[in-house]
Amino acid sequence: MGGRLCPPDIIPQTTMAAAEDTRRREFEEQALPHLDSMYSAALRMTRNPSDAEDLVQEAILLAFRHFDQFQSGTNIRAWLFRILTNTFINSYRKKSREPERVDLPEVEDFYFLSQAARNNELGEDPESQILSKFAYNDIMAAIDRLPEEFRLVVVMNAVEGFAYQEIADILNIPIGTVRSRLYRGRKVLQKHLYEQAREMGYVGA
Amino acid sequence: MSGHRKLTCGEAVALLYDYLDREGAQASIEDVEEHLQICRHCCDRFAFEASLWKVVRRKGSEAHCPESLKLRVSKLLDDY
Repeated sequence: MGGRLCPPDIIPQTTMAAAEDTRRREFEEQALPHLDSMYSAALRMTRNPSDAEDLVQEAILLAFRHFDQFQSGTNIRAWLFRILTNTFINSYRKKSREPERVDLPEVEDFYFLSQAARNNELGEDPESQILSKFAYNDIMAAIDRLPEEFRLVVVMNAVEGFAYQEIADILNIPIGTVRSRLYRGRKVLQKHLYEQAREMGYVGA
Repeated sequence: MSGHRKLTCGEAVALLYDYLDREGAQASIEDVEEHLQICRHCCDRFAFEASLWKVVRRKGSEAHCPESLKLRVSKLLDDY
């Protein structure tokens, strides 16, 4: 660690090597903190841990190769997720070309609350009594049951917290499509979460 | 003040996610806020929904990538 001492009569190769070191250090500082969330998103995309690792590795390599094109000061997370998504679409989705035109069930608004109220499962403080019991794996299991086109927008929004326009840029779809997929996808996710809560005994135990 | 529209419950609910995500036009967010101040029913429902998505965000971001991946990535950069 720490800066290397550079003699004034440094030869060009060394300068290049130093520049490469700087580039790598900057990349590591900026990109690698997002490895956890990239892996989690990749796992939602591929639904397979070994494919997810390969996907992230491939995306990181691409990002590093094109790091010069990243405009510093802009959102690196959105940039990385865009590369991750493109890599997924280009090399992984081809494997399982399920032409996903899945019909989502119609779910009523406020499904979780309505069901829990109907079944007398709401206590004084539902947030601490029910919702806080959800673990990471519960949330992911519920998300993984969504069809792909809804799964990706829901992950980007509900988990990663990207703005609608960022999601549109990442997935290369119109913002109106983002909005409508989120509207339907989140309602179905909410149904999955309620079912998960019942299964785990967080409600109605 | 003027220019504000009084929303029905149905209209407010249609703006639920725009409101929670702070994605709608400022005017419609204010319309929803005004509705929530006068409608206890929607206020409770919106509050539950906000808690639900807060939990999804909080728990969902507890992801950890495997150590093996960190090692692979760091080797990848070494070999580059």
